[in-house]
Amino acid sequence: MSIAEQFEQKINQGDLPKPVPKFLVIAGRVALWIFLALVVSLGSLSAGVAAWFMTDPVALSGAAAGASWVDLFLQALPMFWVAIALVCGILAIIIFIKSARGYKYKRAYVVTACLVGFLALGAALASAGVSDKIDRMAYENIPQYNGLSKPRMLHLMKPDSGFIIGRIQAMDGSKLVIRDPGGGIWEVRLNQETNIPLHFKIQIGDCVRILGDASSTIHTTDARDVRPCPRGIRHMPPQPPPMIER
Amino acid sequence: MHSGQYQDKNDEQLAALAINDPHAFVPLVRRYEARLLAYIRRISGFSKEDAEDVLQEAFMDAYRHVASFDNNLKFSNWIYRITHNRTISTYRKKRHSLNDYSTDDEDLGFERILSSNEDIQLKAENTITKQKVKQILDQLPPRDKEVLILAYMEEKSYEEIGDILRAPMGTVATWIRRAKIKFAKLADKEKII
Repeated sequence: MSIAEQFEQKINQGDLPKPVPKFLVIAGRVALWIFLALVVSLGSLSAGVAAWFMTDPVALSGAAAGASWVDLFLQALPMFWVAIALVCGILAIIIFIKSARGYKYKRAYVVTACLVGFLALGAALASAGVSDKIDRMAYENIPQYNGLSKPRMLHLMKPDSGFIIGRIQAMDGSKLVIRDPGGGIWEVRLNQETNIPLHFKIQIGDCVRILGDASSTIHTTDARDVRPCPRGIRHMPPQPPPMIER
Repeated sequence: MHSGQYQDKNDEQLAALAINDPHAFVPLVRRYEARLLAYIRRISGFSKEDAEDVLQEAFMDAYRHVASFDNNLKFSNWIYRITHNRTISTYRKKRHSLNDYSTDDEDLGFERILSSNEDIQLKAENTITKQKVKQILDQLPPRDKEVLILAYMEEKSYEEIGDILRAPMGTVATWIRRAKIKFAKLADKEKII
């Protein structure tokens, strides 16, 4: 008996299972494309935030202060966002290749298109101010995000070299009182020669980066430069004061 | 309904009709049964009985998922793909118990592989045995063997092979080129050309 005859026999005997309904197939495809859209959106947003951090002029201006380009790159590079963008990118590529006609495209083209797409969308979102909002939202909603950023903040806190970073607690025309990432309080004296960018209007609560005279023992310094904190740090919530041992 | 009334429909129409009427699938089974059976045996070396079992399962798979058949694809490529995947998966499970198979029905296919390479074609003589060609094919890595069989025995175009193996056309062309070189080297080593 041929296979066709056996097949027909199964039909006549009612032994043939029913095919998967069309609506389920369509629903599966729609779900896959929605998932792909979500992955691409999240990946683009993450790539946007990463690109936004990496093109921060405040962070890059630190090059003048003696840090190497690699150090600056790693400081400015938000590994958290790069990791999310990478995971989303890999997922998007796999989903696309596994889609009904995705195999027709060379993988190198798909990877390149994904990379270019993520960066282009990310750049557009960053220039629209979305990256800044996402960074702020991450601080407000992801407790671990604060922990991820703290090492970067501490990296910028080098009182021995005159680098201090922290949030303004109080201020008047001649001094700032700031709290550093470890919770320590610093008095930053301002004078005629202190350089503050024109566009930067200092306010209480702002995160600032001070370049001043080296100081390690007394929490006081004379500021030569006052700048806003680099992107990715400036939304970091205020640190609690250090514990006092009794 | 009876499967006989569907004889004048083309493959793609039958696949669409089979979603609601299983009888529409019977002519498709009839049309592809013989060549898919030969294809399974060529790529796997299964006995006729084993190949029939694999093919039956492949047709059942195809029928169960007939609603997911993409009408932009040729039904022929789709059913080859399902059969190919089912064969490979069965092959992996029972590689140890393979039987040798007869090549009597494959004269044309083996000749096409030989004539695909100009160097081989020049040297080819009538004494070349089909069995030796089969031996060389068996020495090739699975991917090389599959593409040569699809291209020269099944006479599929690069696009069709791409649809069956889910690969871009350029990649298929590269696979075939490499497989031909490997085939020619092995043929030279075996001194069959």
